[in-house]
Parts: sequence; structure tokens; C-alpha cells
Amino acid sequence: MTRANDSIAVTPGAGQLVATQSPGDGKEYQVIIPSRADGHLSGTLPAYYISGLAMAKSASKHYLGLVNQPNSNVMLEVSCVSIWEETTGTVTGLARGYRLFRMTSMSAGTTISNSTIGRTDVSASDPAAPGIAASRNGLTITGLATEPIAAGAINEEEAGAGGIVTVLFDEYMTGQPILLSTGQGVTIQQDGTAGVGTFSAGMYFRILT
Amino acid sequence: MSRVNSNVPTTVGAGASVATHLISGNDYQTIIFAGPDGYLQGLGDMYVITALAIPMTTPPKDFLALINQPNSNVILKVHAINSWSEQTTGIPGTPRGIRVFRCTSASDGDTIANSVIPSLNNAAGPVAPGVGASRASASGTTGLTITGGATEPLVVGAINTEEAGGGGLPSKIFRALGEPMLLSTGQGLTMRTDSTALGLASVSGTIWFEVVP
Repeated sequence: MTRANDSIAVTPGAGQLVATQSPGDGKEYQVIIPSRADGHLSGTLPAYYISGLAMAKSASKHYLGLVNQPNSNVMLEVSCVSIWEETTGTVTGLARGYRLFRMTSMSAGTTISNSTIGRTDVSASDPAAPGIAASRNGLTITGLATEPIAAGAINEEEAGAGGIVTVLFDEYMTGQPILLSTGQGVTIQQDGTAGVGTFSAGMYFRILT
Repeated sequence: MSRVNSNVPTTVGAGASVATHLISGNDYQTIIFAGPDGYLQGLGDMYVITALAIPMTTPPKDFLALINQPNSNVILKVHAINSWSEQTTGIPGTPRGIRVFRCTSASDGDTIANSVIPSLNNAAGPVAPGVGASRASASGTTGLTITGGATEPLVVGAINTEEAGGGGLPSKIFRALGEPMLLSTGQGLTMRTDSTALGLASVSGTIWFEVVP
């Protein structure tokens, strides 16, 4: 079945005005606004972005972590995770693998203050993201999952596509984001080879209250 | 034109409330999308399986397989497939073909236990029911043993294995643009390298899929 197999007649009357579009064919086409399955109007939730830029590499290093803190009373939706290489000098690089894992908590590294986390719909002076813990560059991870939830690679060498962004995860691939309940997080980890050059990563996420 | 240019007056009466969003005096009905099977979009039980840095030996090599087990009573919807190469040493690489075939079963290699298959929805989510997943051993030379392999591939692509030529950049082998690949009970998919000797590089792959009861 590819088309609707039924219709409902509506009696116009006085009252609320239903939005329609009349393209000139004598018919009123109802105009609708799509919603997410949880009732939020599509495209209206603010998105946040964290990143780690030009970080020194080492084997199996954890570079960028996001955790939905216990008792936050919010849900996080990770919508996109991307990685890339930046260099200030030429390097003899290889194809380096990176994995996105679920985890439960992190320490060490550099904390990304909530008050500085960028938001896509308003300026950075907006109230800080609630319930979020974000850190970068040399994280110590606990509760690391056995299998990655996404994986990919980047080219380290400027003569071999170095600098081109690899998308580890994008909700358009699956039709839905990665959900992080309270006490859950994700981390980006390098494979077991040290590599050359630097590593950068970015992560978009939404907060559901 | 960015806003509606008309409206229809309706009589509001007692009964169920229909969700609307009021903008400039006009009520916009708000809707939630569902698939043709009635399931709400965006709430699927989505999982991912991965094969990482599998040696590119004994081509053609089946390196990652997903099977909807017989009598599972579920349907698997494959939404996306990626492939790429990873290296620990430089190689004289070339563009290598990656094919995805339908099949009926896979054996040998390493089983990916259902209990560790990650879910997009929940870290402690339900174990993927009815799923058989396996990958070629990262330390072995042979790939999966496939039965019931189709003659023609379902989708194909390629990766570059040369570090000086785009090596490592993931190839989007498949994206479901509205219609995913469906695996009924007893049906599966396998990712396979082409039949050219591939030197020292490795192949990796990822399959995102949804389990629908």
C-alpha cells in the first residue's frame, strides 16, 4: 500500500482556524507541523556542541567524553560525532582507527565547563547545559562497553586525505540518535597504535527535560 | 512564501483533543510519523555490529555477517553499512571493492555475543533477540564460511587502502533512504572483500540494524 485508503469529511464552522494552504486549485491543503515521537516539535530542541581540538595522540587514548550525570533528571541524545586530523607540519601518517564506546563515568583529562558549552540556537551566554559532564584529552574511563557503538578511521597524512572529516555517527544513518540515560556516557577512543599528528573530535547532542 | 496563506474554520466540540500548535491565529495540527507497519519513527530498537582491522587475506573474504535466525519471530531492518581500512604500517594499497550479499547462514570466525551487541537506546538494553552476528577473526587468515550466498550483491562500494591516497576514509556502502534492507527469519547479510590480493592492510565494517517484533 502506498496511498491512503480512506478519508474523513469535515464540516466547516465557526471556531478555531485550522492552518491550510490554497495553491489555487480550489482545494484547501491542511498544513501540519511534524512532531517527534515524544511530542516535541521537530527541529525545535536546542543542540549543544563539545569538541577537543588538535590533541596529542597516543595508543588507546580517550579523547572526548560526554556523560549524563546521575540524578540529572534529563535524557541526552547524541546526534552526530565527527573526527579529523590537524597538522602544523608534514607527517608520514597511516589510516588510524577510532571507536565510540558507551561508558559510565570519566575522570582526568580537561573538563569542559558547562557554562562554555556552545549551543546552536542562542549565544554562549545562555544558561549552562544542565546535567552534563564533558571532558577531553586523556580521559580515564570506567564502565567501558565491550563493543563500540560506532567506529571509523581518519587518514593522518596530508598527502593522503589528511584533514578530511570522518563522521563516526550521524542520526540520519539510523533515523534515531544515541540515547544516554542518567549515569551513561560515550567516549571516543583511538586504536592500539600511537599514530602521528594530532586528533580532533566534535559531538552534537540534545537535552530532553 | 514561508507561511500558510489560508485556513479553514472548524467547530470545536467535546471529545478527544487533537494536538495543535498555535501560530498567528492559526492552529497547525502536529503529527507524529509512523512507518507503513505502524511503528512510530525514531523509537526503534537499533543495534550495531562491528568488525575492526580484519586482515585482508585470502580474498574474497567474508568479514562481517548478520543473520536473522530461523524462528526468531522478528524482522531485521538494516539501515546503514560502512567500511574502511586501518593500518599499522605503510602499504602500496589500491582501491578495493566491498560487496554486501544476502545469505542464509554464517559459520566459523568469531561470534559476536548478543549480550554485548550495543544498542542506541540503552546501555543495559534488552539483548538483541533473534540475531546471529559474527565476524572474521582478527588474528586468522580465513574469513567466515557463508552458505546460501546470493549470486548478485545487494549493494557494493570500495575503500582505498593506500595511506597516501585516501586510505582510512570510511565509505558509506549503504544508507536506507526510506527503505531499509529487510531480513526475514533465516535471512542474512555478509560483507565481503573483492577477489584481489590485498597486501598487509585491513578491512573494517559496521552494520546498523533495527529489530522489529
